[in-house]
Amino acid sequence: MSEIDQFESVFLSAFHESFKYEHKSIQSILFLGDLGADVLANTFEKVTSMLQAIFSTDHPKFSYNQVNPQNTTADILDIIESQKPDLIISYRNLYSNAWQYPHSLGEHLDVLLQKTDVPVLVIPHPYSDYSAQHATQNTDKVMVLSDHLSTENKLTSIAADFTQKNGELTLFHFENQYQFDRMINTISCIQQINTDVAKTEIKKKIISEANHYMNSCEKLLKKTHPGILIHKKCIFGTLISSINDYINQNQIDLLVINTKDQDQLAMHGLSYPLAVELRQIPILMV
Amino acid sequence: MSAPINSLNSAIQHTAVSPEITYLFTAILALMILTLAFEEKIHAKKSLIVLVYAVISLLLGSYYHLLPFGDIILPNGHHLSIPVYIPGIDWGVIAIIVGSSLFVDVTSRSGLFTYVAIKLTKASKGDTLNLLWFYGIMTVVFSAVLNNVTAMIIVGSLTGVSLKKLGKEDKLLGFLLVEGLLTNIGGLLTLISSVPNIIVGNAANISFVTFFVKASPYVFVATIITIFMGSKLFGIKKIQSEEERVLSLEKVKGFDENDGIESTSFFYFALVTLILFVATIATTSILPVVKELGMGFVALAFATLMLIQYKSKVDEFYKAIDWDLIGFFMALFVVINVMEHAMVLELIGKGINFIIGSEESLVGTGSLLVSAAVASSVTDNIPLAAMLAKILGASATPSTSPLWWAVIFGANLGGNITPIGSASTLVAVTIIHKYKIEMSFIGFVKKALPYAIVQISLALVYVLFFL
Repeated sequence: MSEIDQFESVFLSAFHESFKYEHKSIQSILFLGDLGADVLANTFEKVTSMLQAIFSTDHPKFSYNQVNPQNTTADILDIIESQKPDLIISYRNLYSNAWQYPHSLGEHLDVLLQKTDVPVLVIPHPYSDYSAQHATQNTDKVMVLSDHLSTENKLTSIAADFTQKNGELTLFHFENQYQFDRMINTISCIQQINTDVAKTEIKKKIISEANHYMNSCEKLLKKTHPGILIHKKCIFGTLISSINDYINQNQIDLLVINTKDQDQLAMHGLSYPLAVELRQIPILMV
Repeated sequence: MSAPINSLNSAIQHTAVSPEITYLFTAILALMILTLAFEEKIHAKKSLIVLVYAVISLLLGSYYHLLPFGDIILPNGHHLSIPVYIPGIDWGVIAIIVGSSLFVDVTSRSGLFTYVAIKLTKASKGDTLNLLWFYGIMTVVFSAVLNNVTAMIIVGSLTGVSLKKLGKEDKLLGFLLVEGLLTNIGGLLTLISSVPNIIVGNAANISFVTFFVKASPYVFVATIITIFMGSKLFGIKKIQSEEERVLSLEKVKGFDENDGIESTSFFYFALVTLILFVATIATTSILPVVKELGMGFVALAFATLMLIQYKSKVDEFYKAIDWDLIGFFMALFVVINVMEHAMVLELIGKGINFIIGSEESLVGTGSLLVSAAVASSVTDNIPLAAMLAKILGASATPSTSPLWWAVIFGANLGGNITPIGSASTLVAVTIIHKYKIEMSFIGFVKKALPYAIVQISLALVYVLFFL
């Protein structure tokens, strides 16, 4: 072991990011919807009830805004700008029947998620029949998911805040097996890199980094959120099916994902397909 | 200081060689040193450069009938047929280098050095000035125990990682430069700390303990001065705000010193073996049985002991040996051997005699130190040390003579004047460039010269008045 790069790797490997809790106070919540007043009021009440347990001490101000078909995306952004909410609640495909198909979030939500820094809670469409039975009941089973969890202090913190007392929080680090295999296939064509070593060591390192971070999360969250049970999961799998299976099997109530990457105008690569296809439970998009 | 010494040129006895042949071989030697100075420019490894000159020297040596062909007669009367270029190689030096390299390489795998390095990083609490002192002292100790290049690689790579994590990339140049310069200070601490020490120390018959006792006061003072100068010239200060202090502390806590340790039992085994290795090397000259076998044997024996831990994959460690360096040494010894037969060393001895005079004097010894430093700054210090050791040895210079120390200090410290002066400063510059920091040859000289002047001046005072 005599090369600069080798020792640099040793020291880089010895450094682990630790979780730092970043509390974000939620004082006002804005519900946006395009349906009739009764349906909207009913949905609003359902969501308020779902979140009641986690806001029992903060008592944020809930309000809702019935946007009409003439509203443009710019109008919706103006509403948000004027009300300055700490959390937005809405559902997919405003002013469109495309909510019936798992192919898009709709243009308004797409832009909204990228143009504002406010977390958006996307609930199943009020008319949908695909909503899971346990969805929008409470948040006693929350899951935070990322493909680079160890840099997601904000995401993990908000997921912990959204987990109700005595609930369960799953820290889920996901690695796309298809992408991993593709990278290893490329490595196998490079004669200077030993393919077997690369495959084993890269996988080992990814898992180890995620575990280190998740352990530090568990350690700190035990202090900041006593009573929450932490589950740690790091898997290599196929994007939608692996996550979908886990959510269904464990009856997860709320999925928390990151929608923004630095210098990226479109939604985070992992989040978009998840947000589009996982329609059965609420998704908190940060 | 005033004890008369033998005239250097008269001490080297050879059969008559015409001056023209001596001049021809002198030109070849000068060309080789010049080519080595441009090693980076011509993109050729130093082993190949010297091998080319070794081939030319041997061919010409044979053509001019300079080489002593024939069998070697052993003390028991047996005749041994060995190629003429083999006995010229100092196998003791080669054994020390191969043995130490293997030993250090296997010991590194235990995570011992990274453990120490990370422990110190955490002990600094992320304070920049503390880090400079801790890394500086660590560089000196690692350079003394390992070798300068490995020490620079370990400390330099940790510096890059930790300063980046602390968001102190602007201090990287100062840290790496100071560490690079300190490798050559630490390289003075023991007999096995640098190759010039091994070569000159062996030739002068200086024991490990004597070497350490004589060199350590200088190393101690020079280390403190160098780090102090570094902190002032590069504006490396203690963290002032409480907020930044807390943040830095949090950051360094992110390092896990146990991460590189794959096996705790091997870690402790490596620690104990390292202590035993240093102790055995230090006492080789007085240990019964071992003293006859020498330091090279000790290094190889300890390397063998460590390799047992990796018995099924020892070949990986053989591959990791710096064969360029080993090839360079072997070819260099061959070239110097031919030069000796061609009376080139006698000619250089005359030149050195001119510098130091026929008797030891302050001016002479000081001049030798400064000349050795200047020469080492532009070319490899190993050929210089090997050549001067041969010349001083041939003149029966007593081991207590400060002339040996003038060569040792000059050859080591000269490496601090330019980036090509020593392999470890070259590593420092490589790491500097790796972090996209501009550093030209002249830029390095401008930054390093104040340190080099102070260090060489201090060495002059120390060698002339305290050794």
